[in-house]
Amino acid sequence: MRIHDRGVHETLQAGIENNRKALQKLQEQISTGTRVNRASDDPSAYRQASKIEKTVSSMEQDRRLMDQGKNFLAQSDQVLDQLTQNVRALRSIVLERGSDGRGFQVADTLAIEADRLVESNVIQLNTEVNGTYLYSGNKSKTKPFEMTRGGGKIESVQYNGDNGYPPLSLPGGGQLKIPLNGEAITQGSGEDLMALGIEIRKAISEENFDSDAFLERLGKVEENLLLRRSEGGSAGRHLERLDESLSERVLSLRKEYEDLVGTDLTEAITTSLSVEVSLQASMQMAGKNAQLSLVNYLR
Amino acid sequence: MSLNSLHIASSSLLAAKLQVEITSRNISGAQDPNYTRQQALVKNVGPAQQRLTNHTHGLGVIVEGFERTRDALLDKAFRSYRTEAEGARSIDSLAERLESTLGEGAGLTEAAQDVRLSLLEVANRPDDQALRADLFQKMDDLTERFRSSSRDLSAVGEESQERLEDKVGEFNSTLAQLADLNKRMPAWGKTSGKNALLDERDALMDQLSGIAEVRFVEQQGGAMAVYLDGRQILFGDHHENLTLNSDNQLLNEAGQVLEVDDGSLGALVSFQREVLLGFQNDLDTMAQDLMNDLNAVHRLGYGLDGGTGRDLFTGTGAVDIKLAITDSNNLASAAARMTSPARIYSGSFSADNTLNAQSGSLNVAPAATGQLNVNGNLVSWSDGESLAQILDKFDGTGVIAEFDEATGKVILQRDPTVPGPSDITVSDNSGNLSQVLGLDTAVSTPSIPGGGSVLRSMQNTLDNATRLEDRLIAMRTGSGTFRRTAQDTAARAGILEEDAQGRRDSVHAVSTDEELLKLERYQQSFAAAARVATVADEILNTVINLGRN
Repeated sequence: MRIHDRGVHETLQAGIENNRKALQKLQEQISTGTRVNRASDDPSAYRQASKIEKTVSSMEQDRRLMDQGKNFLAQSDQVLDQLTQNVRALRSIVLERGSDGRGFQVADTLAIEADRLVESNVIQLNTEVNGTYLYSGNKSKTKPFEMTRGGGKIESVQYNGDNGYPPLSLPGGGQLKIPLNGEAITQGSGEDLMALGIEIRKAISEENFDSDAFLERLGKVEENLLLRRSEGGSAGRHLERLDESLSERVLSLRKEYEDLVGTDLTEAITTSLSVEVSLQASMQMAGKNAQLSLVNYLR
Repeated sequence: MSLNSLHIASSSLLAAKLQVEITSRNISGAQDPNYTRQQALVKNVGPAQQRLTNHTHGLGVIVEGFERTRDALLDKAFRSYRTEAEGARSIDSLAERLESTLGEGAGLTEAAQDVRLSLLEVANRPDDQALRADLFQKMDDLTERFRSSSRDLSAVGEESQERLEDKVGEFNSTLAQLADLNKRMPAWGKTSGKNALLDERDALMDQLSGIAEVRFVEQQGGAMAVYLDGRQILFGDHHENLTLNSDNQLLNEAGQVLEVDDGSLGALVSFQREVLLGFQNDLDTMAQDLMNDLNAVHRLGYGLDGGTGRDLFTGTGAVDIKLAITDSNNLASAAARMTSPARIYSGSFSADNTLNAQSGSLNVAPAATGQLNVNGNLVSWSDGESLAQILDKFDGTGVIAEFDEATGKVILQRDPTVPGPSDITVSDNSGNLSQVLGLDTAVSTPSIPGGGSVLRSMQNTLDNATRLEDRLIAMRTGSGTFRRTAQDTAARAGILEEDAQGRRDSVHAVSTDEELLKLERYQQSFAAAARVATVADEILNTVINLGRN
């Protein structure tokens, strides 16, 4: 084939351009740390990486929602613990009032204490976190319990929430359905915690005080509270395990993602050096070629 | 003899001078890609008979003309590759634009992910106004992303349309220049200036070949005829002015459709008709599926205002999708439900034991067998089955049946993921299961806010039915694959074009080294001819002086 001026120049120019492009691509990979910066870089890897990103994003969302659930359960456990203590304190009041000794003489004091405990229960069950009530079911913005007082004493307690489930999200959009609303906590045993407290307070002042009956009913209420705590604890552990499992899966997926699209810096830098040498060689060739003309020879 | 020698030397001198001139012209055109190297056509003159010796000899040389060194076959091959390469390059540049339009910048995936999280947050707290407002905003953002992506794709379409129209204009303009050359060409006859016109014509033919696959036929008299899709579009100094119709078909002046599949014209048309339209349809289908799927679920739910049967989105596709509701309180969260009004058992009851075994615990003793009609679907049962087994049979009826251990109630709830009426209708075909379950036949509106089951169903629908994120990934990957293919095709076509150009240039391009060597030769030739003339002159002088003496 005949060699002509433009051909030589074009070949050298193409060599320089190709090396520059390759160098630019490698520099992009090194600076971003990612081998696949757009779908066209490696469509197959891009698709897999995008799916991993999507899965990781969903898992992170699930973990975030589960964290909210775990926070709810931790706060709930404190409240249920306090309620249990209140029920036990009520039990002590009932025992003291029912005792043969000085129970009747201190009835007024015991009644005041019983009233305080009912109020404490209401306050506990009206626990609010960031403007959201824990125990009003789906009506998270509605104060779940309202007290009605008469003569300075609590006459009745009204539940204004519903029987909705607490915000315990599961991975994939599911929901852990455990009865942990005001209704289930106070009435789940068939006995109404609030009404029983008020009844006890009223009965303390009466001469015929049937402590055994109250103790039996308080036992049911306490059992229900323990059951709710136990369910809450199980739910918490379940969420914890799921969270750990998701966390491991996320880590594994991130590694997979990194393997898929991450830049192998050693390889990229080595290749980059090789391309640089190639580029310099192309440029030197271009320079030398400019000197290799007969024009220069004949001059 | 000497006079002849002088004449011969004179013709050699003239030929060498013209050869030097053509060499200098070649050197000056070395860097012009359209220049074709030329060479002088030198011919011996003679023979003439020597009167005294009766010998015949030549009368020297004449330069007949200047020939362009061009190979028609290589030209044809180059133009064929050029058609392919220009088409591939046109596609490549639009593919890059398309990929960046549909890439991460579109933000659709992120918007869909935000909606997903927000749906679940509101499902946990359906009456939370702040969370609802946030979800409302994110859904609005998702629709805006669809609209902006649709606008961006339209912009790519407009850009490719502009390029298409520009190319048609360029094609017509090139044809006009060729027509002008056809007109000017004969006047130049066989002069050396004609070669410059031929170079110009070849460049125009190269240009035309890049735009569309055309056929060139040189006619008698040197005029070039051009054919496209088998129809002549350049006749001597007249050319067809091609136009595009509304379907982007190329028409000649008679209104006939010229099919163009190759070159940048063919590539731009196929990009619009097949590629861009495909992506636009995908985006539209996604928006329509999003609307249809989520509307179907949303219609079944109840908003905070107690309203139901409302669409969530409205529009015809990606171009105009928007929220159909204007108040975040109208976002449906709770599903219609039917709850047994009282406990279905009076004492201990296990959902896993047979009804028969536990009949004493039920408020109403069950009949041995029976059948329920649930929204038109039959659920058969026997008292040998457990409640849990019977409730499982509601699967696929569009109604979710659950036994709530805490309250001891059966709850029938509309499954928003199954299309159908929002009401729940249950009738006993036989037996007394509805009594056993304590179910009324009327549908109850959920207590507001109710649970967030509709929102969870919407999230589930997004993830598993509409599969918006998966489809967005597929669309982005599709645009990446398309660009990668376009890049590879353009690179391959470019290499073939370069190769064809290299082979063609090896014939017609200038090598300055070669020209310099020729220059040396012509210089020598000129010097030799000059020497012959000097010798002849000396001989003549001798002869003249001989006569004088």
